[in-house]
Amino acid sequence: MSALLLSAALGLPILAAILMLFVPVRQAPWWGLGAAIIILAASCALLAGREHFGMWHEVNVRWVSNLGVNWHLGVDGLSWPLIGLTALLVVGCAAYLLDRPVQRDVRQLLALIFVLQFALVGVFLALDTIVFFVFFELTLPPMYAIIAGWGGAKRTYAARKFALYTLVGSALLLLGVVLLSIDAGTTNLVTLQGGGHGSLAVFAILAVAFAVKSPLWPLHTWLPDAHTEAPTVGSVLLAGVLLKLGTYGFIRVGVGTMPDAAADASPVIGIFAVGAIVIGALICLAQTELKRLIAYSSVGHMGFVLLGIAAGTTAGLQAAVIANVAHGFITGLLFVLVGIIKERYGTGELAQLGGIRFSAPRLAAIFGLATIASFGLPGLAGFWGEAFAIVATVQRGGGLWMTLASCAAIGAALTVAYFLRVLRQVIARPADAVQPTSGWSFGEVIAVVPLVLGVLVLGLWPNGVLSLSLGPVTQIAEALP
Amino acid sequence: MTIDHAALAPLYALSGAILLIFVLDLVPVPRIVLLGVGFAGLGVTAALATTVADERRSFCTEQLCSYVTSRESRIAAAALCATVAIVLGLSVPWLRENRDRAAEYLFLLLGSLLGAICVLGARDVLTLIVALELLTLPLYVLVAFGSRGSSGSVTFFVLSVVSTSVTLLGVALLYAVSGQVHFSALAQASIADDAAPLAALGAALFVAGLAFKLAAVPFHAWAPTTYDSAPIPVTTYLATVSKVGGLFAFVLALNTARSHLSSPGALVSVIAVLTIVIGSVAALRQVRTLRLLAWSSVAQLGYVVAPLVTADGAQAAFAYLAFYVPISLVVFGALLALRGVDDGGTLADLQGVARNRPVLAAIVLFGLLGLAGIPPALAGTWAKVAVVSSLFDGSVGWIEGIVSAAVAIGIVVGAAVYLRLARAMFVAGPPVRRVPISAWIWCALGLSVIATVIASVWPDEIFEAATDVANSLASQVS
Amino acid sequence: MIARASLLLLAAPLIAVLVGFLAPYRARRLVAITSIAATALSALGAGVSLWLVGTHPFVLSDDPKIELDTAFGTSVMIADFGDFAVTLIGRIDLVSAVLALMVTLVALAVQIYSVGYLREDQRYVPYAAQVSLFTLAMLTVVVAGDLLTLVIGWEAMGICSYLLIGHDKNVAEAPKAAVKAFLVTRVGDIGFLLGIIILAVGAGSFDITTVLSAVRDGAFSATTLTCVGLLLLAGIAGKSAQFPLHTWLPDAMAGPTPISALIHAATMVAAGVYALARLRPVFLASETVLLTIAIIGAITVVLGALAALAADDIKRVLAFSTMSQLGYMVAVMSLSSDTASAAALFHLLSHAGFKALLFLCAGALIHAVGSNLASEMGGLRKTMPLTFGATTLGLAALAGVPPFAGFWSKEAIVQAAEHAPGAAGAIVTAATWLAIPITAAYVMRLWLRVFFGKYRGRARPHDPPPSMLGPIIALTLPTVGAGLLVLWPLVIDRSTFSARVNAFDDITGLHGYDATYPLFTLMPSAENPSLSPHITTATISTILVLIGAALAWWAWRADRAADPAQRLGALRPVFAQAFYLDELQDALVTRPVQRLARAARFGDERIVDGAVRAVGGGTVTLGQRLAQRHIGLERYLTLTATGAVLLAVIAVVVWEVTR
Repeated sequence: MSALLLSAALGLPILAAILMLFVPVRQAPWWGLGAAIIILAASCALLAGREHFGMWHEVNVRWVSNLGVNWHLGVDGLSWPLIGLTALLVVGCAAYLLDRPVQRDVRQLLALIFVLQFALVGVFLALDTIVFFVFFELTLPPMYAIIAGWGGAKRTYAARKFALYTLVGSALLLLGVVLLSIDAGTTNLVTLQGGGHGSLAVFAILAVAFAVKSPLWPLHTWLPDAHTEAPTVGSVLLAGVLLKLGTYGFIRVGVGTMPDAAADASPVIGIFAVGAIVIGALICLAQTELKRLIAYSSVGHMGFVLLGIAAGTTAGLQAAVIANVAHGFITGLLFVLVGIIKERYGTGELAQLGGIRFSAPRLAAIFGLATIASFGLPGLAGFWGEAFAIVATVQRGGGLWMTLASCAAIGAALTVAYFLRVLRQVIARPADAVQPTSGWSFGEVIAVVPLVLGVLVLGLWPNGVLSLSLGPVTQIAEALP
Repeated sequence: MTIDHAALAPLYALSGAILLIFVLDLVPVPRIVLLGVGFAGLGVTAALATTVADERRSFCTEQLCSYVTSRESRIAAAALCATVAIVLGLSVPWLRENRDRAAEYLFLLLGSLLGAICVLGARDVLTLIVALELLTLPLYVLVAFGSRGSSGSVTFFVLSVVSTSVTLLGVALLYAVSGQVHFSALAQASIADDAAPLAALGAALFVAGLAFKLAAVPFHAWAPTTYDSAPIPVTTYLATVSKVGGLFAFVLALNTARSHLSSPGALVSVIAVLTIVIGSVAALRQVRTLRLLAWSSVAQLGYVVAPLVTADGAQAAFAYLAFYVPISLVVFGALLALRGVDDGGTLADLQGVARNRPVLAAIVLFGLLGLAGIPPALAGTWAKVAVVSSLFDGSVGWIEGIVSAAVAIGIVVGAAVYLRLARAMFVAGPPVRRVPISAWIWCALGLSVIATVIASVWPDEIFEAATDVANSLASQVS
Repeated sequence: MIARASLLLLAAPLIAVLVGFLAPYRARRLVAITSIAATALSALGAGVSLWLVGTHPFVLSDDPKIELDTAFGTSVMIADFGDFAVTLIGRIDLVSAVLALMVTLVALAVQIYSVGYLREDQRYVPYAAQVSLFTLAMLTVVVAGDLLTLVIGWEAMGICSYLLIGHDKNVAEAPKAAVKAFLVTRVGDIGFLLGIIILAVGAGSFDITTVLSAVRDGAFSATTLTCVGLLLLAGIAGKSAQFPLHTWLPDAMAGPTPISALIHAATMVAAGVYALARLRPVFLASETVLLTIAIIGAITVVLGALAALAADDIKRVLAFSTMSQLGYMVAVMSLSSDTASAAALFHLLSHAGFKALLFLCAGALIHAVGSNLASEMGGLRKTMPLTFGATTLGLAALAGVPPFAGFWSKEAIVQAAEHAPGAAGAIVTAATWLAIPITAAYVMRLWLRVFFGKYRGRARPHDPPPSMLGPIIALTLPTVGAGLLVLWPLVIDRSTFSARVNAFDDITGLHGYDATYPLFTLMPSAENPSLSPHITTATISTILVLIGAALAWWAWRADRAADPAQRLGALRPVFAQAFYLDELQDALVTRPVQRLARAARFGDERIVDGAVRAVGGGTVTLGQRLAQRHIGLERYLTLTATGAVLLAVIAVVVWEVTR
């Protein structure tokens, strides 16, 4: 049964990708939406048999004996929220593509999205270091193709930068997992958890690998270009899930398997995380393009996730988990909305936009909601992760961590500043020239509504995610010295 | 002197086929007959190689033998035959057009294969060098078969002479200080203290000169011109069969030389790092597809050499090459299908391929991902994992650190190279005339793809074969 | 029972919020009815809660039922962070019940008033929903039993103020003012959040009772408590518009006038003072913090009063007066005397009444005249008699004229300050005595300028329609009668009350800090005699009021069309610009941050990304150079030969070195 459920969650996206190549072009998005919903259902089916600790479902088959690689997949409370998030965002992407003119064959785009989903789910399910690495790498080609094939004017440059920069991370990940696995004599992430293997150097290699993906300042500069040029669905998946590979890897492979080294390195990670928060916010204050701005905002938000991880307490890791999921919802929503705005108003330049409050009040309202959720208004999804990242930092105590907590809080205030600037420019400022070209389409509504609900539900009931992850997170945190 | 004919049976079979082709060329026979003889010769050779199970020794003096075949080397021989069969399949349309040169072509190709198979069994330096020359000599002519092949041929020849002379100098020095020619004897020879530096120099030159076959830096300069000007099937052969023969020779030489070099790892690491870095970086701005692939194969052979810095890295080297061969067949074969035999063309010539030839474009893409080591072409990924694992197995010193850093850099730069090639296919281009592609080519290409997929999904057999080969080569010098 | 009443208190506005946000823009009537009804129901809930808290015969001593009766909330854990479990807790006691009643009543007045005031506005529907949300947020703060619930309400208010201040699209500066209001308060909230987090981490819980017990039990060092106190103070100063985070309040006048009434009377600014009372044990633990509170409050009292003296915009005058009045409340909280928080909250309540009244009257004036400026009004007592009467009552209460509400509550503050020991008491007393005549002067100036002399405007003024007049008249009741609160002990049984105070203190473990916390007493009793006016201070302050008013009248009398503030001479622009603190804030904070932002962007694009691009470009160039080295057979030969020699050299050298 476990094997069946896992295979369905992992295999259906590939089947969907193949299916996409054979459906008629005109109905392709509908087929895509249907497939995405079935995959979402399959992902939810994994919830059956969930447990507080340990794996809910597990498959472990010998694969490459000579490298010690096992086809070892499993789902637990740490990985499921991200699998669910991925499935939901893919539904949103497919819905967004309904009745939307796309430059190239929409079937290929959908197929690539499903391939990407396959790779992402694979990373979250992988319990073998090498399998983890394989899926981690597998996310590159489809994402590259989505950006290069359906992106904006500078898509070639952006896609290449994305692929090569994150490949640096992958190459380091390869070195890191191999070093770790050889040192431990096993590639089994379940046995590796709790530590005893690897050195600070190995942890450092892995940390840099994940920091590139997360991305952690100053290894982030692939992100703004990729986001700005990617098509809307690409941005949604990039920000919504792809960045989480880094932070998920940090927790599962980095901190989870090398607690001692992680504890030694935590001040450094903490400093960089807070640097990301503050510098990301400052850069956003000076940004003039909407998509680029939101891309940079991700740098700051992921900074909070990494701060939680650096703090390394149960609360910190829980904060990282919830901030991961929340960021997926919020930034996914923001990118969908920015996509709609750019399409309707023909520009993403802050200076040229304005008055959406008057010309499209619903769009303005939802954009406003996404924005205030993004800067962490209490009661919305973004709050819990950021607040508890700071809580965890304060928990660590001492001069350094208190300073970090203060700087993070200042960064949070700067975040408010730049988002309010955006709202003022885009929503409130009376505009004369720009008028919308269309109203809401059905697909847009289907894409937006689940994300809005996610933002609200996660804000009012974060325990939906936190109760799942508490068990595994506690185990990881307890191993930390 | 004992001669074990069973050990030599595959060689006899192949020689027989070569002779038959030579004779048949004198009388006008249909081309299909020549091809039939060629394929049959390959089949019989492979069959003979695989049927004899245990170790066979030949040309022995007391304990030392000059030619030894173990089960593993015979499996390698069979694999080489299969590879050449695919190369031959890729050549068929070209042979159809150049009817008069078909026999010549077959004769030279199979002759070179004969050399390659001899290399697998060679256990003394002289046999090795003769076998290598047998492997290389026909290639000078084969390269020149291309319409633009003369410059490549000359380059290949001249540089080959230089490197062979380096090897011979090394061999001579080793022989001078030890008086031995057999690898095992050479490896175990006790050298007088004052002659030790000379032995080290000899060992280094011996190993370095053999880097030529692998197109490893600094003996790589022939590759771009030669690859670009040879007919694509010959290029494919150069990239695959020739490399396998070269690696056997290199590993044998290195195993022999290890005891005379105080730090063999340092020497190999210099070669590996330079090969990886220079190969991938120089490939970055190439405009012609085959030149680009030539530089990339330089870099790929750098990964092959890389694990050899550690004493027991040979299995990873063989494994890497074993994964690399089918992937190369895929890439070169698909390129041949797209561009014809003679001219790889420039990147700009690939415009519009994705639209006009989606299946071929997908196959090229698959192959390029394999070369870059990126899934779903897992064969390439396993190869890279094997190399890195091998480097880190045991204590990790600064040499391993530097080499693994070079591997990491190479992976990234290499990806940039392959990305450029892949991207070229997806640039919208004018609708091109769709040249019909021969069933022979589809067949060869299909087999290559299937081989790569099998290597991706069930890589264990390859790893085991590589381990066996490495172990048997190591046992030869102990 | 309390739980049910409080459910009514919170659920009713929540429903109004949902209806308002989901309804289409044209559903004016539906939303108006829902909002008013919901606010009224909420007020009913507050009233019932107050009645229950005030009269319910609690079982004393060790019965846990008391806790259950006063506390309500989710038993569902909404967030389990392992080390911390977040359960939203609400708790109703006398203070929160009274405040909730005040909030809901003012909100009700505002909702009714808005129907008329926003008759022409296309965006009434979201507006009404936002007002409901604002009310709900403030109620959440008021009944919050744990710090996170408090923060949720606290920040939700921030966003509501942002939305509502920026509501009017015809006011060009509205968006900027909205951003400023949210941002300045948010800067303070950094401190507030950090303070709360330090408290929660130290106590291991967000429950206010647990946290305060931990403070009492010495879980925190003195230094930590000082830091926490100052951090919390930052948030409170932001919300309650205390110097130096007050700059948003005058600008917030860009919002619709009913919103000003809501912000200045019932929500937002009241939240800061309330938090100061709620977390009082934390502040009492550090002398430094108390002194800081005293100084900040005193500065704000005087600063606001002086600025109000010179402003022309009547809403700005009222805004500065709010600042000044809030200064009183904050300042008095710095005193460690028993009646301090009671006095502050008493003033909060009476101020809420008359300030809401004043803003609604100002709205009526602006509605009628079509301008905010006093210089375009004048002589309105004849054309708008009802508004004139109501405004006069409100202004009298603000100035502290007996027997209106402001007089009593200000007297309570004076009394508390008089009796407080130490520097804080002296500072607060001085500021109070200084500000009373100034307040009277600006009140008099405003009154004369608006209602007397000749009409200087263009539109034809008239009293507002009933929907606006109704709330105005209703609000005159507390303005006149809030002083009666001091007579309240006649209504409830004194012995029950005292017993309950003690019982609650047993539970919350607050003995030894403030005998009246958290059930501050609104009544003069044996325990706190000083809330009621004292004849001496009452006389002095009345005389001071008369002096201030007389000065203003004297200044006005000479030229009835001119602004009496001109008599201030060179000081006038200084006062009118509120001592140029806006400009200072701009120069010290806003512009440096903007410069820093530009520098960060430049650094990111040129240096961080520049390095990345340089590596990429460098590799490509290197590749080109390398490839060029590989053209021509001669070059190949040289390369190969050199390479071979080099390898040989390396082999020998390595051999020599490692031998």
